Amino acid sequence: MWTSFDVSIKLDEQKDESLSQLKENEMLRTKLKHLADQYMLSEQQHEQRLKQKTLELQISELKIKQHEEKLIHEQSQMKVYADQVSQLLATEKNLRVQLTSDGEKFQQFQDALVKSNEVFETFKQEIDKMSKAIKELRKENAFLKSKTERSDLTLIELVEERENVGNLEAKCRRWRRRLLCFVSQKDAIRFGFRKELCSWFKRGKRLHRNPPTYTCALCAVMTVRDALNSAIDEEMSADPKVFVMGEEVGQYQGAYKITKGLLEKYGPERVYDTPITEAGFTGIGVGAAYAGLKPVVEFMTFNFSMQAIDHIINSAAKSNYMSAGQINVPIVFRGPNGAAAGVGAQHSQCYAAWYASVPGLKVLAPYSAEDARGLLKAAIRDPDPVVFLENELLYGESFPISEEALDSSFCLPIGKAKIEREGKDVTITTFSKMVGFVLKAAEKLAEEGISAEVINLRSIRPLDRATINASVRKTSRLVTVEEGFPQHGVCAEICASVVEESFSYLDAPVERIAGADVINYFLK
Amino acid sequence: MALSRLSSRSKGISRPLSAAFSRSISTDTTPITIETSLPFTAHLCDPPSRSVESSTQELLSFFRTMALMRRMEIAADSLYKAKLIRGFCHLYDGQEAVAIGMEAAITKKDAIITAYRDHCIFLGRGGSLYEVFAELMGRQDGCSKGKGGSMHFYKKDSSFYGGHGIVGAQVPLGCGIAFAQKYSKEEAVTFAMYGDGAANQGQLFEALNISALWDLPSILVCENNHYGMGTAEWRAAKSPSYYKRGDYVPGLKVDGMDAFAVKQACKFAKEHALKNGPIILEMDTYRYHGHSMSDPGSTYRTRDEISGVRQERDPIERIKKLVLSHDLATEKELKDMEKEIRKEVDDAIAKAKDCPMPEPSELFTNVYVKGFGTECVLCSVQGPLCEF
Repeated sequence: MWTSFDVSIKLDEQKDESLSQLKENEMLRTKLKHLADQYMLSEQQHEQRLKQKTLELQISELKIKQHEEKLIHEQSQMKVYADQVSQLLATEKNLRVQLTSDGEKFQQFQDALVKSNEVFETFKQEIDKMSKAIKELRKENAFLKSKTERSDLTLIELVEERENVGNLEAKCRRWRRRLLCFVSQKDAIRFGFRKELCSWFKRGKRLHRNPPTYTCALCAVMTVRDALNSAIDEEMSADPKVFVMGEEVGQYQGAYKITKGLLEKYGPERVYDTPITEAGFTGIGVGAAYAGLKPVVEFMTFNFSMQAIDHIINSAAKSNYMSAGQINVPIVFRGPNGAAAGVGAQHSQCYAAWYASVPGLKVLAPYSAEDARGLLKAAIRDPDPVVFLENELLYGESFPISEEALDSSFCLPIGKAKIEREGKDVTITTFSKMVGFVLKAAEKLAEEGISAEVINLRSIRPLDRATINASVRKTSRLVTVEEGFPQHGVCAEICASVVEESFSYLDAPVERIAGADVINYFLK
Repeated sequence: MALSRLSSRSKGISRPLSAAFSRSISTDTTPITIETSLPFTAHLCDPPSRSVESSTQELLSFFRTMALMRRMEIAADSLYKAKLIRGFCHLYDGQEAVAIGMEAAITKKDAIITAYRDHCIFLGRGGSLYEVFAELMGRQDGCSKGKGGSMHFYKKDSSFYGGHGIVGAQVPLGCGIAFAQKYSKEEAVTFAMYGDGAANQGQLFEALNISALWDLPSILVCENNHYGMGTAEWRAAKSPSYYKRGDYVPGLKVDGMDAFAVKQACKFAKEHALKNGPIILEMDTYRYHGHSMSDPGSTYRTRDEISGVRQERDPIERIKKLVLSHDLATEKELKDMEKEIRKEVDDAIAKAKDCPMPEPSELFTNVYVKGFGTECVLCSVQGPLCEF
């Protein structure tokens, strides 16, 4: 039988067994946990290794791609290089071809050079021949010259004798005519002057509005004033586009009476009195010329033209050039120039050099009545701007005038000088009032045995260089005379021209006689 | 104004939209009446009315020609900076309304003479872009064969007498042309244009005195852009009312940025001059560039002033607004027109660049009309002198 003690011991034993089993269980549990943890860890490790492997795979794939791209890139570069190489080969071929053609051309040049050398040689030979021929001709020339000189001298003597006879005859005629003035008609016929009387009465008809006065029936005489007046009158009647503008030209009949009678004849539509505003009315004149009219603008003296010089030079002279021929200015600026009697420093300057230095202007300076008529008519008809320099002291002087000059179509060429007196020892050039002085001086020189050739320039721009130089080449000496200031004057230009053209013909330096290099003195 | 809107709108309904732009330029002469922006101020005469008769064709042609002038001047600016144009270059942009308005009021028998700011006046008188650019660049196909330059454009067959460099000299010359017109009994007038700087010149008053004495049909137009080179008008003139300076000669002050006001004033002046003698017109205008290309234009005036005028008074903008408000063209069509103009100007410049310079022998031609040419003074020792 089981006692409670046995039972309790069995229970205790069972308790101990169960405790020990519990302990074993726990130990097994912990072991199991441990194993489970280990298993988890190993699984995780496997997973990580798998990830690693996949990443490595991806990296290797990318690397493969990169290599492939590089390959492609290098292939394309190879293609480009191949193209360049082919191009360079082509250019090389072209250059080779050019080289051959250039070589041919060079050959041709060489051939041509050889030929021209031959031609040059032949020319040289011919020139030598010619120079020999020239030497021989020169010798002959010298011989003939000496022959003709002797005959020249005898000729000159004969001519002088004839001249003397002619002068005596002319003197006779002149005295006869002067006598006629003091003798009545009846007495004239009685003393045998019938021939002279007939010629006088034949010329009795009025040739001209302002008839030239006759002191000798051989030729008429006219003042410069009348010459200018008649010239303007005839040009105004010939061309309705010509009109006159200036101070006191109309009602006052002209400050120096040059435009006398024009207002009455042509009316206020053709002759305009202006206020004392040179800049204004000169500009208006030039503007009218732009539009096709032909103004004759009078300056009371050319000293006042300085107020309007901008219009003369910038608006008139330069227009044809600046517009390349579209706008021409057929205008004439006229008036007295240079010194008069006692008018003072501000009214006495000579402007010939100033205006003659401007391209585009034509500058004229008449001396005698014929010069005045011919040059003024030429100036009014000319399609370019003309500066017409008169001289106040010449207005009242009378000069002989030919029938031809009295004709209404008479015109002198612009740019041609006139040889007033022929000579062979020295050339004297001058213009305007100085021509009178120089002619008197030439007569005095002739008494001393020096024969002077006097040239009246007539045209300052364009200067007749041909005539001056031909005269200097004949006489080998030159004196230039003018009224204006010496520095940069007309004389300086003539001197320069002669030195450039005819230097080897000059026997002495050129002499200039000009106004003193001071402001004009009042009393002279 | 309302009446005009009605008429233009009715016209707008009748024409197909696609062909609106091209047709309006060529054939449309529907009359429009436009009010000037400011009233006229008169001296010794009755001012003309503010309503100006015009037509759609005229309005569009104003826009086109003014845009062309503006483009031409700006192109000249860039050519100058590129050193293709040398010497002087005086630009007219900002003052186009004066040139256009004047042309619209007169015929080619009426003469115009101006100072050196003459590119746009030449264009208005019938000159071509090619001639302008060739002359500016000194080429032989220029209007003065390359011998004149920027300041000496001439077109005698359209009675445009230049193009003068000496300030104020053109006014007596203009009175002289008017004298010739009266002498030859042509029923024409001369517009002698000058600036506020030249308005103080003595020869101007001398010429005005003679014009008034002899009743010459001369119209003196003062383009008052308020600056004589760098001097503002208040520093140069004791009395800046240039329209009153004629004293006994009537005058009219006009808003020079409004092409229609200019047109009305010129028409009025022409009628007046043919009957009563000279009249002075003062055009209140403005130039955006400096006096010439060597003047920046900002040392004597502020940039605000320049941009202010450009915003408020620009003549082309005014015409543009009128065109748009009268429904004559859309914004896009005007922009296309401006592009076309730009291309036209560029083509003219390219053609002018290709033109050769004048021959060296041209240096010696045209000095005189008749004979003599140039005397060659520095000639050889042996030969006689050579004359061309």
